[in-house]
Amino acid sequence: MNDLTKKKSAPEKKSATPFPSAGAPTIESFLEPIKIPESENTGPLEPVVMPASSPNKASSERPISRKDRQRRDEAAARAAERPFRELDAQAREVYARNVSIAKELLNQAGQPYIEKYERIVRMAELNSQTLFENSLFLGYTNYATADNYLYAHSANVAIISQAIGMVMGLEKSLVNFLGFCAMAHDIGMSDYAEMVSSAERLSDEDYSSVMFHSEVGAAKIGRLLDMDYRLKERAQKVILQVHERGDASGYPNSLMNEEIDILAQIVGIADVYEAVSHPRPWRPAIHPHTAIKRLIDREEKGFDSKVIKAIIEVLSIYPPGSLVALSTGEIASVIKINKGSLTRPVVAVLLDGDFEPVSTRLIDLMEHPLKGIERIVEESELVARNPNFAARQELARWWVEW
Amino acid sequence: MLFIEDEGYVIDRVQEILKGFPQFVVTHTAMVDEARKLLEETAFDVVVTDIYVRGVSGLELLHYAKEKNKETCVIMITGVDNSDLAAKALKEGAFDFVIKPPALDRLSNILKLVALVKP
Repeated sequence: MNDLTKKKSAPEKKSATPFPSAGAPTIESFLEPIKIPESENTGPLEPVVMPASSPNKASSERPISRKDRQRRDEAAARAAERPFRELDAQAREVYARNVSIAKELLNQAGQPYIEKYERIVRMAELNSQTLFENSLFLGYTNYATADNYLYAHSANVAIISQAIGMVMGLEKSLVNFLGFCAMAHDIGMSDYAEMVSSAERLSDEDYSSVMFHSEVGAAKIGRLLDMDYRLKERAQKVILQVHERGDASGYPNSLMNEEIDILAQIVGIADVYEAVSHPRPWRPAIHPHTAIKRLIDREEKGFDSKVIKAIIEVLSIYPPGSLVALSTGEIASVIKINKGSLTRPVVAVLLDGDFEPVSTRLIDLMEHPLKGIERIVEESELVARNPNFAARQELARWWVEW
Repeated sequence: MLFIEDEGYVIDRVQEILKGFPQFVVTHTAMVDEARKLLEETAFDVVVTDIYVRGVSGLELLHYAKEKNKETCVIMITGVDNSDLAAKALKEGAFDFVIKPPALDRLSNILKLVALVKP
């Protein structure tokens, strides 16, 4: 049952950790919004545990040093050499656990007492590790759950948020806490079950009542028995602020830029991206490329540019799951992002230029300079050109328990 | 934006494409020394360079550009026979590249993406 803990005890990985090991994480470090490294401000928040040896100072101010980054990239490159099948099986297994934990949490959210914090944090730890060493994992966030969209949604937002936190250089324990907040961000929606599954767009009245879900969710965090009260306070703040936007257009309190906890900003942007790029009972999904473009174009208003930049770094311009046409005319699906390249991911070729199925093969566009992504392929085009294949693709995006 | 190219027909074609992107202020040079100097003085947001300019590798110019401003989007223009070099440039941080002459039009797609990331 508790094999999560077993799995994560792989101590030999220590040197390749993606995070700085600047002392043990303290609870205090969660209590206030942290400054992200670029701001160079470690001022009053830094618990004064570091012996003030000046040569180390620079590295304590910049949570991920160049060296760490390099080491991390090397480790990632090593991991990339593991066979595709092995990576895929691992990613699938970890994703399955995420979905089932999200399901447990959302289903038990109505009970007077919940004991889930420790389990979710363990899950978040495994997510961090998997994001770090398994480049296929992020692609799993394309799945949706049919019985209740919130299950996959919560899992996906947790994974994407953690990936953003990692590229922003947040401290390890904070990334895991972020994973918890993201996993629980819609815990308040369990009170609106009939609206969640409704196939119709909400009426204005229903919509304004759903707007209370942040408050309901924050209150439900109070029921977690196995969580320190100081951590609860910050988690409640984050969950309450997920729909706040820097230009004061959000709810419930129309906060402005710095008033919004950085973790809430991260969960907020992951939430929006995930929501629009996945189907809902009352509307279809939009293409992941279009979803990310909207964020860049600031059509989704009020996100801070550093958070936008981070999500682009995580998902690139053609996020995993994007259906694209290559310069050869072939139709392919983006499987994984090549670190550092926004336009040249690894793709799986699925159809030829006439939309006829071919035997699937992987192409790393970094290694094939003569090929490139020409344009995106919308689902409507796929449906028009090869309806059978489109139907299979559509079916394949729903997560099935096994 | 800095545009480094010494081949007449490529210059013309690229200049034409760049007309569609008035938001980029373009400086053009065909001289390697001048290019180096400009890259040392100015942090360009975007650099479009041939992969060979008068015998000098575009990779060198890529390094100059990245040293000054590591956020620079460097787009390489390459011939079909230099595609391996282009792949190397990608690994060393180039944003993307286009192959001349048939695929030069792809530059406009790439610039659209660049314009997105660099508002």
